[in-house]
Amino acid sequence: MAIKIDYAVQESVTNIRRNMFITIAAILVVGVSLFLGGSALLLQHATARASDQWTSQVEVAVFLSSDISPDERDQLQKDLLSMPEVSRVTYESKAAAYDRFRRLFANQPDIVNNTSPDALPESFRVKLKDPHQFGVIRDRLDGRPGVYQIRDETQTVHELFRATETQRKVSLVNAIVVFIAAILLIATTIRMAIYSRRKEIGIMKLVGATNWFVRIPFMMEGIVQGLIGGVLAVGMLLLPPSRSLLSSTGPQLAFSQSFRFQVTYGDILLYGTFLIAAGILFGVLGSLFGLRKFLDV
Amino acid sequence: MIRTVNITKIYRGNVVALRDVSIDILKGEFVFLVGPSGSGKSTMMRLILREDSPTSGEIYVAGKNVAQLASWKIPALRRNIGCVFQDFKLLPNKTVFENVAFALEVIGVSRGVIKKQVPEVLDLVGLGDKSPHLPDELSGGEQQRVSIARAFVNRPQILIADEPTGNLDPTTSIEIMKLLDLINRRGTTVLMATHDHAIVDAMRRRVIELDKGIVVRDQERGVYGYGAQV
Repeated sequence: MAIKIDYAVQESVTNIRRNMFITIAAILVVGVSLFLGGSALLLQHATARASDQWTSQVEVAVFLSSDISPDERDQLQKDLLSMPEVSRVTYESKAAAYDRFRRLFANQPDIVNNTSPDALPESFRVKLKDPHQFGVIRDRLDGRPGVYQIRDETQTVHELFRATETQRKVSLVNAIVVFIAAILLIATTIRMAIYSRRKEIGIMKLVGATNWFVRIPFMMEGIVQGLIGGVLAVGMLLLPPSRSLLSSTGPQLAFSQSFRFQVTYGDILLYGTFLIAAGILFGVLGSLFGLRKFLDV
Repeated sequence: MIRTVNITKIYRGNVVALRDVSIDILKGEFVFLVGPSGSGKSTMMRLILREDSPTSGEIYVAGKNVAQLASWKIPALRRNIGCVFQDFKLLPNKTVFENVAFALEVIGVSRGVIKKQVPEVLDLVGLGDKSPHLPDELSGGEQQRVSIARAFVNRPQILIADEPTGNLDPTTSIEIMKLLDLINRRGTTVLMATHDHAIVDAMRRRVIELDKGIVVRDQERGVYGYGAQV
């Protein structure tokens, strides 16, 4: 039997209008839950991307003592290059280090003026094939004559990520709780709609309407609620306050540009599609819960 | 057309609604189901419509074993059975036309067919001119005609009427009975549960009497009660 689409659409519109307030409540709860869940996902996405980006960029800096001889320096460079974990080694002279120092602290001239070009150590910038293997370099070079200090940026990056990780988990748990509330609220609106139309449904069943014919308008109602909620969530994510909340600037790293991660419009649209799909899924789940009791009639 | 074989229905708490009931209603028959309240008439109707299943025994409606029917086949069964109730069960916010058309819409009949069949059946029940009215604007008898039109619009093989005259005065009741008789003469098997002595006595059709869930009488051209026979 063909189910007439215009019939189903008309029925669900009537239902939504009849239970306006509870429908609005369900839509808002879906919107808020998807907003929270979406924020958590976007945060994770941005963090993961920043993490990848930064981990691939971080270098191990091997600072040299001022008393190192040119021979020792050349030998050290050769040794570094022969390590299988190392992908690239660049030498930074005192002059180059001072240049970079001046650039980094350009807005703090006092610091620059109080530092002599000679005070900054020369160094090797070591780029690793796998950035997590920082420990290897330290193990091999620590204590070697001519090596003043070994520093690694990955640690700073990881600490930063640990902080956002907690934030992300909290918002995910929040989101899941609100997800459940959203599904239950949709179920309630569907049940109210069924209750207000139980006479009509009774007649429909008596004259031989199939269960799906009776169910589909209610499911559509749930789906519409979920869909609007999903769109609402994406709208909230696109508002400037939430975007700036999600994009944060971390501390400046020792010898690179400042660390920051950002949620782009592209991310929001990508995850927005997913959130709207999730909203529709909530609608389906909610209406199935709402209809469950009615299914065995 | 409707045949039950030793059906027993026991509700929760060991309430016996029907006990070992075997009846056989042939195609084209007009049968009264009589008996006091609680005698099992309504249970019988519910079992025929498969709103409920018997505890034991078999029910055949239009050749199908209803007691064993898969739930997805129930709608098809009900499309063969028209139903009329004491309280009409019309939708108050739909017009006469829409109420009758509703029965066709929900089974997926096309709009063209609906536009043709609904006026036909409304003419049959004598309400051709009431099409745009709401149920509230009609008398009780007229409302019951609408519900009969709805039950009959897809030409079911069986029409089940549960106290169709229960809310109507005697004159109107006779009109309704004439209508059911007309439908019966067109080949539809009619099973009517009733308390109305006058109607049963006047119609002189087959009477099945239930008492405490047991068939105590099954009589061709019967009357309402034993009292009337004496």
